[in-house]
Amino acid sequence: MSVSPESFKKTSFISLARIGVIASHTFTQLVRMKVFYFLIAFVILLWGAKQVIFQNETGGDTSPEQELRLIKSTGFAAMNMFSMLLALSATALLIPKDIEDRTLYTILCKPVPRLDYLLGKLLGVLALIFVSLVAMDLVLCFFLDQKYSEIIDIQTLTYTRQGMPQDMIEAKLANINAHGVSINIHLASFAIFLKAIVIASIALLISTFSTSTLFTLILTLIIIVIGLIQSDAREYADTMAKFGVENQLSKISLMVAVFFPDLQFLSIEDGVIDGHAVPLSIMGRITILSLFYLAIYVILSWFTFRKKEF
Amino acid sequence: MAKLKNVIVILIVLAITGWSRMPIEQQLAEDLHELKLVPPRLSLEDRSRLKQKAFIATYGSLRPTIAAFMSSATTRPHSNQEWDKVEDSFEEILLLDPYNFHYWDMASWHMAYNAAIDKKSDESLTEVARNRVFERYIQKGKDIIDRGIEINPDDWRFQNLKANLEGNRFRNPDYPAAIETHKQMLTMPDLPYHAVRQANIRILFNTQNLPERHQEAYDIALELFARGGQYRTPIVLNQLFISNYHPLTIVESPMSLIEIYGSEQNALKHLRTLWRNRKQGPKIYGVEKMIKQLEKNTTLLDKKRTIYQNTEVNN
Amino acid sequence: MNHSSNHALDAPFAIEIKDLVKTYRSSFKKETFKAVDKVSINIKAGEVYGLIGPNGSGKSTTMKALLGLISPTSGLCKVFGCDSTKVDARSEIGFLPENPYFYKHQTSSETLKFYGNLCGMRGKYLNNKVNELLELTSLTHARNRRLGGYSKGMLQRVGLAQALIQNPKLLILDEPTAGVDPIGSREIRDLIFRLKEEGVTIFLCSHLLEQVQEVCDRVGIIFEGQMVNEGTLDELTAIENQHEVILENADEGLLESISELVRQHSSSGAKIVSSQTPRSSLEKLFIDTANNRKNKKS
Repeated sequence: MSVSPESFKKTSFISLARIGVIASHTFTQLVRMKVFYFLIAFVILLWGAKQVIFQNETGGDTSPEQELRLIKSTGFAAMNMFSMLLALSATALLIPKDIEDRTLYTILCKPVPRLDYLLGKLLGVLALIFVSLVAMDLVLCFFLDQKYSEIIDIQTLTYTRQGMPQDMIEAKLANINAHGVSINIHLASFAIFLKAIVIASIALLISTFSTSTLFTLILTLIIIVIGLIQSDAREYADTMAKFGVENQLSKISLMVAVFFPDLQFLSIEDGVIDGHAVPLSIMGRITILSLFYLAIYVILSWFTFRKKEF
Repeated sequence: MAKLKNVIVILIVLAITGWSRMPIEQQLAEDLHELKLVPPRLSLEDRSRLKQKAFIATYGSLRPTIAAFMSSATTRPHSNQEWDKVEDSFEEILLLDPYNFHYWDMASWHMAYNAAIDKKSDESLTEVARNRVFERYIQKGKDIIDRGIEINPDDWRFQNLKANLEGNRFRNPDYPAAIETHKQMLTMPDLPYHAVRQANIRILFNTQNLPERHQEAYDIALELFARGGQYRTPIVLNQLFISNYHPLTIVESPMSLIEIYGSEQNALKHLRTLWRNRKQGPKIYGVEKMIKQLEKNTTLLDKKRTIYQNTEVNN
Repeated sequence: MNHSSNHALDAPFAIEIKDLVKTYRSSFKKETFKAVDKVSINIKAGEVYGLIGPNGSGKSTTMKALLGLISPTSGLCKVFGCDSTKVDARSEIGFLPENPYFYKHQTSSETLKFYGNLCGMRGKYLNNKVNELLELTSLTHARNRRLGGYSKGMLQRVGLAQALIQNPKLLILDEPTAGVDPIGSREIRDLIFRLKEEGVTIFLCSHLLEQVQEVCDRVGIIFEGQMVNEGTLDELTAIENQHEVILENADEGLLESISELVRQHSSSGAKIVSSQTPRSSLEKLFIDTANNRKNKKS
């Protein structure tokens, strides 16, 4: 039987369709591991946070804001934890599991470039995290809005009974407004997603050369911890450089700043909890920087994985 | 060999990309700190103070959560009057969530109000010791607010808090300092209207407590009266009345009772309140005489209000 | 017309392995181990080739080199003229690994669709192909069951189905009948014959030498990384100086006459080596028994 030219297809270097197939497959795999049950715990957690009432102790009136802050901080903390754990564990487990189970052989024996495989796996994990964070964001906004409405009603009544002038009531309610649902909540959730992107891409890189899942998890976790203090190290190195001082600590700080990612800039949810607005220009810069990290780590992952032998 | 080559290439790429992104990240970090979108950096000292909490808290949004729980946990030492523990807890809370006014308010309140009063009535101490400890705790409260102002220079509530503490008559008041703090607060941009009004009235109130600044008190009251509306509080009205009778205050165009209070009924109500609280403030001129005069008009008397008849009038 | 397809039309062989060497180096001890040492195999298009050898002889390594899972230390591997390390080569390869393991969370139809999608197949064509393969591998009844609940034999059949999903021109089978019952084993053998008739090249490894003997046109024997023998079955297994004749309904008189005739020619060295009632195979007995019971039930 002769092989005709039409049947011998040239495989493109990268194919969005193929990546989509692997991503969708990975997404389904993770969903069928019942990770979405976490959402139930999240709802219960936020419901609990909503029940908390701070007593007005000092005679001031910052307690309503405190209650709203608590819901936001609890929600964002849970979102952070969940997305970090999922980004870390799902990515760290997927490739070694495929190698161990030899399902990787059957995939790579099809006309699937290794880059497509890596990107598909990564995007599948990120798709799951994205869907989860959207759901959690909506739940957070729901509980926050409920609490906010309750507080506004109670405080308006209280201030009116106290005989407060209208402009004063409005000024005090404006303080509470800053802690209600706004676009900043969604931007903070998006920043958490960007953080998950960076963490997942780091885990992907390490899993391409690591021989065990445990090693991948531990090493990625160490990099995350260092990444959270990287900005302090960079600040120190920068300050020492400005003063023309060079010591061992400044050298180490510089190495840390160069080789490790800065995860601090992705933690803007703290500012949103405080009621600060996130300018879109800042959001844009954060997004570009995150995508830069993603690109670098994916390219390095492909570089390591392309010649890996099984 | 191939593995080693891979490692070298990875390190080189990370080094090049890391070096190139450093200035961008540095600029972004500065902008984020300026906008207070990320918490202030923890120094090595702060980290060692917080211990494991610092480690946990470096991960985003856990800082406010931990601070909230720690804040709730201070209820116990507060109830047990363990002020050192309360102070230590709040030091950590303030490190974790420094942009939250609520914690600065709580911390200074615990020190300057609760702890100070508790120690002042501590019979295990001598009177001298009690006063010393009382002053120390008030100063701690002020120091906390000062640190809060340093970290949150744009938040007028800190200045307001400080001025209120400085002007608190039960906390070794420093009226000139309180006046200056409120004046400083009034220079801040974008102050809410009610804050401006309250600050001005507090300035008047504190000035009233300085007998040597009687002229200034009158000038302030006149200016506030001219603004009308919510500014015409009893403090302002009473100051205008007293200044008319003050032997040293220069009043260019004295206002009549009706011009000041709007009615004799109103005048009687406010003057009576002023008279009742007279021991807590400086000497007030012409009030007693005017009250007697107004009370001759029996239509103004409220049968239920027998307070004046029962108070000492011959002073 | 692309370069690789030009090359394919000119290539005389479906698989061309020339002086393949694969050396592994231990990380710490820096010792080297030669898994494959100058192996050369040429397989024509449409041929069924069996590679046999003991465990650790280099069969899997040779297969992996063909599939691009490992890179040769030296030598070359080509599939229809295309370098085996290139992704293009795999568009015409279907591979069934030894003890195949697929994603447990998927059903067999989902699995086949997944692999079909990876090969660029879509829509109705893919759905029809999936149905056809499930029918072929007798898995239609379990198509919506997750693979986590499949037996070993069923997984083996899924593996075969996914290897065939994109109508490959080359099928690489590693222990295709491992864990499969005799009926299934016979079906796989029949399938191999059918594919051979369709012109598919098949390269298989198996420890079940009888089956290799049944299906393969040519066989290679590999031992400690080196090819020690290669040829058609006739060339390799024929006992040249013996001839087999099987008689049916022969009486004792005829048998005696034949023995006498051979004795008369004993001067040329001819002799009767054995004379006995031939035995049917245990496999045939098993299959016949199973079929009879099936027929009785229906």
